[in-house]
Amino acid sequence: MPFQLPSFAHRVFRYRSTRITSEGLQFLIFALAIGIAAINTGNNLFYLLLAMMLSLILISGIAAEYCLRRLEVRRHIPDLLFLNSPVTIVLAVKNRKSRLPSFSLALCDVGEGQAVFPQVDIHALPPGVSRLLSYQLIPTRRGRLHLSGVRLSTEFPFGLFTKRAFYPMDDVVVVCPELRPVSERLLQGLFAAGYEQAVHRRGHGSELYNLRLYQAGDDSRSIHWLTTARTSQLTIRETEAEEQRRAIIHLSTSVPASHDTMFERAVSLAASLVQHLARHGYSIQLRVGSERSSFGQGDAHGLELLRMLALCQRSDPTAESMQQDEWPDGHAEIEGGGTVVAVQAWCGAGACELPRVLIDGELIPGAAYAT
Amino acid sequence: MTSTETIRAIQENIARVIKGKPHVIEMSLVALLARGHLLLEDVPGVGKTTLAHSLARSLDCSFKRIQFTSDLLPSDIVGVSIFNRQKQAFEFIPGPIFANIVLADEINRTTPKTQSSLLEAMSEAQISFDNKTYPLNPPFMVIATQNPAEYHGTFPLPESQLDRFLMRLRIGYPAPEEEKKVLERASSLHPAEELLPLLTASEVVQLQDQVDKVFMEESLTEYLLSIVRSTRQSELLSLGVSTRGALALSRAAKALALVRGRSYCLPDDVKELAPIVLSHRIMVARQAGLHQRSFEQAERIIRDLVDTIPVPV
Amino acid sequence: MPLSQALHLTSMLLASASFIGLTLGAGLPEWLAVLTGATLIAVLLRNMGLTSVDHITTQMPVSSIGWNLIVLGGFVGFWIDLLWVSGELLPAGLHFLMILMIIKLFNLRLRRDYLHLYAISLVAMLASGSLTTELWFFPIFAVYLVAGVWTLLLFQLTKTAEASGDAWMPAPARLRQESYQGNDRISPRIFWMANGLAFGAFLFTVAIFFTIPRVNAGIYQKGFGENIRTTGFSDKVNLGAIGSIKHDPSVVMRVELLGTPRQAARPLYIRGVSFDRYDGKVWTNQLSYRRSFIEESPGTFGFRGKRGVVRSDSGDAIRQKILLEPLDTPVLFAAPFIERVTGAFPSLFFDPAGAVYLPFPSSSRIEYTVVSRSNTLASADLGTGPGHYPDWVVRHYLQLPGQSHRINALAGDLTQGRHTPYEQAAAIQTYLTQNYRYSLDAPLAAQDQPLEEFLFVRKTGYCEHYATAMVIMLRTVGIPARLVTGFLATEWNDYGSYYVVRQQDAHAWVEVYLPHSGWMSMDPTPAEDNRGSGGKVWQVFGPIMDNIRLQWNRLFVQYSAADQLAVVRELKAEGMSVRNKALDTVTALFGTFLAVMGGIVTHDVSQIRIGLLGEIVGFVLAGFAVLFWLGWGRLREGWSLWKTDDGSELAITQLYRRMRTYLSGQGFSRSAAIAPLELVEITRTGWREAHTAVAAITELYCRTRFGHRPLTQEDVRHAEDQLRRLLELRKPRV
Repeated sequence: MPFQLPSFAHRVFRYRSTRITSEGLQFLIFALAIGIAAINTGNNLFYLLLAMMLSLILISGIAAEYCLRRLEVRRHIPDLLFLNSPVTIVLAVKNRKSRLPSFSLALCDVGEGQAVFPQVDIHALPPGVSRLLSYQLIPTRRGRLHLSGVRLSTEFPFGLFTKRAFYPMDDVVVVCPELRPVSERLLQGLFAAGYEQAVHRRGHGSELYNLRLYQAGDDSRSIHWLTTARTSQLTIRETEAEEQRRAIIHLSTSVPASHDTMFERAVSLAASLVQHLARHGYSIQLRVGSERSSFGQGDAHGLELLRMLALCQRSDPTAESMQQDEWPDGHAEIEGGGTVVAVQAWCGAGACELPRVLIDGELIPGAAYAT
Repeated sequence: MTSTETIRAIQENIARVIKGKPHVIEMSLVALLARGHLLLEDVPGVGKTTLAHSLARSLDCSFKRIQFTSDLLPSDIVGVSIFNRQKQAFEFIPGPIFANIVLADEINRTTPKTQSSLLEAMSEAQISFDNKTYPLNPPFMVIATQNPAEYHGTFPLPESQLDRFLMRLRIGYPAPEEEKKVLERASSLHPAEELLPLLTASEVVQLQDQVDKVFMEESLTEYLLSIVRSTRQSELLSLGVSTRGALALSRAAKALALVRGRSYCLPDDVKELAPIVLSHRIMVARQAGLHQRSFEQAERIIRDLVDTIPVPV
Repeated sequence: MPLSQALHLTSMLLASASFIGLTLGAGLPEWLAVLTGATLIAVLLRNMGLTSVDHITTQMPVSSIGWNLIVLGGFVGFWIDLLWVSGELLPAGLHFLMILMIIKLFNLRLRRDYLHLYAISLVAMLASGSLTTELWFFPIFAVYLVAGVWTLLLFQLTKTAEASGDAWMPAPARLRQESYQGNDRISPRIFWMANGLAFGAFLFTVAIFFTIPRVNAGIYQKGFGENIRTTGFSDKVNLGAIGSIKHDPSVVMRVELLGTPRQAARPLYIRGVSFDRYDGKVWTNQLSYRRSFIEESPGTFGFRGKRGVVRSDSGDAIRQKILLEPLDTPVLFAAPFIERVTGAFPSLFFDPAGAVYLPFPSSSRIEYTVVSRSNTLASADLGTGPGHYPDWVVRHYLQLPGQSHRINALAGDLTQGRHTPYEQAAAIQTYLTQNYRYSLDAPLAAQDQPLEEFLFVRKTGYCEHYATAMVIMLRTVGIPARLVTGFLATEWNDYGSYYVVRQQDAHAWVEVYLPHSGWMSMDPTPAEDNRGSGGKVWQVFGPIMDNIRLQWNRLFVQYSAADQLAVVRELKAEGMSVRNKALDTVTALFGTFLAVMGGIVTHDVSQIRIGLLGEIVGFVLAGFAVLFWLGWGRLREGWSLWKTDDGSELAITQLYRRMRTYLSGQGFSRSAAIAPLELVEITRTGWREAHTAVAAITELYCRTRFGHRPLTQEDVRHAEDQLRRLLELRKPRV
């Protein structure tokens, strides 16, 4: 990500722009007035004052250019952002000049379409020194956030002009849907459904399941020596299989444009569910419209699912998509069993005020989020 | 042979097996001399096992390898008590951990319970079993490997546990010509088997004692502390380096100085080691508790931080 | 010093500079000057931390509305001033400006107030520039420029602070933010940078000043300064009038001789007007009707026809360049007799007696070049051959105020036995020179018969008396003569090779008409005993200062479009390389100062003066040294942390530091975060030649600095050698 300004001139000037400040405007007006007076009267001392003001403008330009020269900017940005939750973006700026310090720098990220982000200031940056600056950003839109570069500006040295330099530096990050606590009722529904499915059974694991007598072919490593000693019979320790619960989260994407906000809420709800279930050790599959993820567990998988939700798009309902989105009937379709949670933003003709959640085909009434 | 020559000889010895990776060899020696443990994080097949193996071979030390799987139990590492019918008493059968150099392969494949039994052994240098303690023989070094690419069915080590490792290293793919050499010497024998031991265990312990005598100037300690402090203040990190981390860096720097034939530390030692000694001790700031790995990122953050701290002149 | 305090201080300086400029230039009413001065001092003291002053000013129960009312009051005062007191716009405006400044000085709270103060000071500076062309403007302008650069810089640096209180930032993030916190101080870095910027701005100012096109520059610059009052150049002059100004040292003009070697020349007579009629007390010029010159080419005026009344074929031409101060007379001065005048005049006039006039007295300095040619004594006038005088000479220059027997007798005695007019005139001149004493203390004007009083009673007097006596005696014996007033330039300025002419150099002498030679100048006044004894310091610095003043006028005040054109034309004509030309220009600019410096060194001054000079120079040098030490001391502060008592460690550490400085100068190791061996590695890959030296020094340095191994003398010497070798290397340009 480090970007060094190319040395050739045209690139340099392409990324520079200068604006005048209000003080600068007053200064220019004064200079103009003095200039007119000097020409009118021919008084050389007026010319001297005029020359002073012009030289200040000139020095301004030169000093500002040196101030913005040879800086190196890097951006540290988390891989995942969440809608409406503040995130700290860090800019590292380094002065690569050998002697001259830079003063009064203001940095800000520039997004797509010249959208501007909060500005951070550095008072002084001595030569060879780098500084870390951070600002908080609250993403307001789900999907990809595009940062095209960093804009450095300075009013140094006299505050008459603002000189800006643009350091292009592309970064695309994914903004995930907002995560919110899931409502108690919904959780109860979920766990109730899950409980039936979770079975204690023998298997690999560390929890004790049972003790039984040794049989030929048993792994000698699982002999429980304490009991064997007590009973003088070889006893085997059986362990309980690691609990493995599975869930499928289904988000329908065919929602009319009028329900856009509703769809966003549904996406957010689905993401919250993914997050919640992943934390409780579920193996999760996500179905967004026609897309399907694999079953999986762990942070990496959770991340992938969130990314999927972050990038999903609403599509207008057509007969075909309705067909695809059709609720998968019963459990039969799902191999290996599992809870099916469907999140719907739109339920056909009937308008609903909140996204609906169906667990194994049963509608869970009431609010989706904890109030 | 002086210690410097010995160390150089060991490096050359291992370099006969591990081609084109002098830095990795040097660092593993540093870990050994600093009485630390090494975490190798890399994709399979780049020579993690070979490195551990050849290190052990050159030292005339006992070497054990534990392949970590999901069904591995703590007793498979530490050992078991078995009732001896003749003696009518329990007898402790030591597990593979009772060796000088232990290679813990794919440490993240096993359950946290099993992991913690290993890590306890690493930090205590002894094993407690049935109210008895069994000290491990010095030198004792664990070289654990971990595959960062896989996540299915893995149990990543928590940060608090990672702290037990002195440093985290990557080996990386060898350079093309080195790789070619590896292929050319198609020997039926495991390459490490050919190595001759150069040091005895007690000599290694002596070298480890020498590390403590390496001199670290006061301003250098300041420098080291300011690096550590900067990780605690950084916006990028939600968890900075602990005091144990600072200690580890200091010890590693001393060991590196010794490996490089000096009796005093230089700023270079600290600066060079900071990324690999500190990067696994920090937590990169994340949103909503999503844990994210990325070795490179952590290392880069540390490197950036170090680059902002002036070296004492 | 915290930035905000420094800003306040430099703002005060800015205001002070413009105030001093205005006071010197405009002569503010005393009460206003005192009031503003007192205000400035009070505010400065408050800035310096005198709490009692602070107490007083903060106690003043004036709200912002109150301040507005005061401003309003000042505005009303301005109208009253304009309509009844001063009656003119400019002085009234200036008074109002000063009052505004006082109000703002007491009311400096917001940044806006500071801006207002700067605007006021700029206007004051402008006014000062319009009111004066004196040399003191230049130092004040320089101070203003430096203070201005500092002020703007500090204003900007403190601005960052206030702007960054951004609503975007949540509280914790703002805390960590790297920005102005109000307690930042002037670091050596800022100090040197500000001075560097000021110096750069100054250079640019000078460059821009000389290159900015002078569009439609006015010929006569309007000035409001008082013209110098002269006497002796009007149509009517009382005998003894010149005496009143013989103590006035103010400079009237400077005369540079062109085409003559640069060395102290003999006294130069500078002719003003002549008088033909004397009535016993008052000289009058009867031939005062004026005719205009022909403009031969733009700006060059020559005499029409046979150049009026003087012969043109004899004598050496003297070319002079004259810079004339604004005088209250339209007379144009030059060495006798004017042949051609070049200058930016719309027109010129002359009278039959050879005096040249401007259309009206100039209110500003004027510069002109004159070619003059004096008459030489024709050999025919030395012979006994009879000469006869033209009619117009006889008509005008033999007038006598009434017969005086004593004078007749004296004249007769003196010319007894002399046959030619020249010999007779010489005899009278010799008599007057040798038998009378020069004295300014001669209240002859009050006498009824001042001339008799001078010749027979007091026998002391000054130039006018001598000249009058000689003219009258010459006329008595039938030789046409007239009285001439002007200046006798004796003060030669070594540094600039020109004459300085002061009021006290005003002089009167005689012109005698010889039949063959024409008008000849003769001076019967004996040399003055003790002229112009100033202070000792003044004698050393006087000429230097005067020369600087002249250069100031030349280069700044009088600089015009014509000069620009001349430079351009010269560039074209000579086809000189621009670089040479620029070099010349620079040399010309700084030549003065170099000459001054050289002058100080080589000037033949007495022991005491050298002591004084030495003291002054010593003080200045000591001041610089203290400044340097202050700045440098701050810089070194950071290093002292790592100092130890070990001598060799210190030595090698310093060598290492020098090496690092040098390498960073060559583009290596710019960051302070580069460790020693890393640097060695960088040079190994980046600069092979330097590698061995760098490696050797670093090795020794590391061993001593971090290993605490003592170095031998040889080691240190080795390191020094290596460093020397390194310093000789130059990084190859990539």
